[in-house]
Amino acid sequence: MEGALLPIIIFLLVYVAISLELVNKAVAALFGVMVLLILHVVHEREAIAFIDTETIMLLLGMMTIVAILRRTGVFTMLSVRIAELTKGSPLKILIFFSVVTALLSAFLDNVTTVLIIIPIVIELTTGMGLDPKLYVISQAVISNIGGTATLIGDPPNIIIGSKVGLTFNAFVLNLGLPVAVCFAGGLLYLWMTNREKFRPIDTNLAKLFSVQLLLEKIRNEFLTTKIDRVFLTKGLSCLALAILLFVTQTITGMSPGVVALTVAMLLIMLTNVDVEHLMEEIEWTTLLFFSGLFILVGVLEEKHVLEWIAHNVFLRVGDNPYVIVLMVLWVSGIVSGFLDNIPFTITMIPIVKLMLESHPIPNDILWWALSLGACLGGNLTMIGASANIVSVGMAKRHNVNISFLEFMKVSAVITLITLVVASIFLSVYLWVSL
Amino acid sequence: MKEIDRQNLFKLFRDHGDVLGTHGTTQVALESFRRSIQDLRCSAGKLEPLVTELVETIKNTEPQVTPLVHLIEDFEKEMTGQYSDDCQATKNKIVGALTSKIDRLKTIGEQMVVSGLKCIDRYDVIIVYSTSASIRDTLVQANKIGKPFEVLILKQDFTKTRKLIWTAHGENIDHQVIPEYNLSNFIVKANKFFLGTISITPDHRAVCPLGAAEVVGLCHLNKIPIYLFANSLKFSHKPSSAHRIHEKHENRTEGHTSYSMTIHSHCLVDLDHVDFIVREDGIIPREEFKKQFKL
Repeated sequence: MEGALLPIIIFLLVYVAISLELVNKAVAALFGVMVLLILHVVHEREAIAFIDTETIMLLLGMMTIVAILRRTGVFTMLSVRIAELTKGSPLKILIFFSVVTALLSAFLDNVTTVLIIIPIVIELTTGMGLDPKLYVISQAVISNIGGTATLIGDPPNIIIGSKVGLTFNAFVLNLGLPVAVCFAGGLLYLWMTNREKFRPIDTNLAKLFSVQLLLEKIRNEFLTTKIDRVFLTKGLSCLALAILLFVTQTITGMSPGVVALTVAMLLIMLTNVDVEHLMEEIEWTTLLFFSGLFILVGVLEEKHVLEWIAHNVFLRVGDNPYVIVLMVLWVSGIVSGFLDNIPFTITMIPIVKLMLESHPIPNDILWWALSLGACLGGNLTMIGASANIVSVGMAKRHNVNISFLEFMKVSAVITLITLVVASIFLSVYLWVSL
Repeated sequence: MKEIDRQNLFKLFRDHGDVLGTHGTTQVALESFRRSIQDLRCSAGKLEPLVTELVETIKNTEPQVTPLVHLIEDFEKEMTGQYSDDCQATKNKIVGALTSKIDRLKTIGEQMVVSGLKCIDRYDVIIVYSTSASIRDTLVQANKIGKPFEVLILKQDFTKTRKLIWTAHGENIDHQVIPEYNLSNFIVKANKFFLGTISITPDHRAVCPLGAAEVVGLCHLNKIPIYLFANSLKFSHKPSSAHRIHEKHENRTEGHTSYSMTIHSHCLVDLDHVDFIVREDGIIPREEFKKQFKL
């Protein structure tokens, strides 16, 4: 660990700055990198080599595809149709919107999903005289659960998939079932603890009438753009093509990053969108943040710091595979509840690799533990995931104030349920694999 | 019905009124009534009290939607003695009665366009303020038949003007959007003012969208003819004070200054300032409508 002290200090300072939101997280990470470059801890070429271009390509590609698809208005139209299908039934609002949120967040990023869903949910529930808090919290939590199911659903999965070389299919096949059970468990908990709030309204004529008026208002308010069918067809075709290429990755040999960026460029050419405007919708700060973190963690890896942590912290628990798997799951879950799960995942990947070198665990189970922990753990608190923060922020703009504790009262129990489900699933999977 | 639910419902009516106008709101309300009856699950005995409760609520919204009140009163008369032990049969009768009201409303809407077209001459420059469906449809139809004219859309709260701007834009109607407070700079250019209303009252007033009274005043002073689009359903037998114009008090903070502001949902326009009333049966000048409707 020679010469490791400086990178460790810089890394910790960056982590504190990010966690306490002292400065923009991309600025914090890149400033840390600049300090390392100035002090000659790392050279420019080495630093660039630490950036995982596969992850950046995948993120950039998906951001571009989603930005274009959002312009079609198709997701808003879908949400309005779902609102109509609920006919104002509180339980149907919870279930139908949760299904859509989970499915959308499996293929779009979670923040985009809640940006589409939450305004309509708030409009619908407040208009009906229901308390929108429970619905807002549930959609934020469900978006994090849904995003866990696929390679492209949540940033930790994108990072794990790209850095480790796990395919889209591998994510769906291995995480699809536990995520579905977590989803059902979360909804069941919400229903059981709030049964009074989910009573049907179809015996109350005045309520039914209000709902019909409300749905008409939602149609007027949200369906503000005429759907361009040609544009929509091109957009959805390209999304379908991307998913097809993700699924057939083992046959085509195309990595997810290459697929996403290729389809994104194809979509730009087909739709002829204004690229300058489109670029304004890309989250460049997120991409820069990822790049900076990859370099910071790369330096720590090069200085054998992560090897030291793996041996002296994680491998101290012994060589029982069940203990190792569950420890990775629960540590990831708890830490992700309080810290940003992106830097945590980037830091954990080399540690998990070292753990696997010492204690090989079959079927990538340790990676699934990291993925489940990092994604599901984001639900523990209001600050655990970007989707939570954005949902609460949107609720506030609609005069619905959700406190940290109010959020946690619902989300923490669901996190506990989902982590227990994940523990059972991983233990059974390990038992079958050994 | 709980008071909070009633207030929520009244707000929904106002929101629809802002976007769709009175005619559109009446149609949406009747269609919503019809759909909610179809979705309702209850015993035959409970149906009448539930319908009565809803009808009373609809008749007392803030403000009252006069065409809807008239149609609902007709509906009540039609349904008197029609409630039976067969719940489904009664529901079918309710749906049938509501459908006939919707059809009547549609017919009146079509007739209003025919009357409205007579108000537009070649090269007119028309000020339009409210989101009245009759005015919108008239402008669209006039444009379709090739009448050259221009519309000055007075932009107020965007929600209220949005539909008008979309229509003008979507139908390629020659138009210019100007802020309502900037009308004085365009008043020389305009030669007509089209206005919608929610009701016309026996005390010689029209309940109009908020801000309309000021525009009417300016147009009247500048001798610009004012056309008030008001079909027969908008004529009320209650005085303007009984129309339950919604009043709310808002606490606001702007530029480190906190204050309380009172806002009404609608305003009253004196019919002495109106030159023509456009009804489904034709255009009636001021002198005549005073005598004809005993205002």
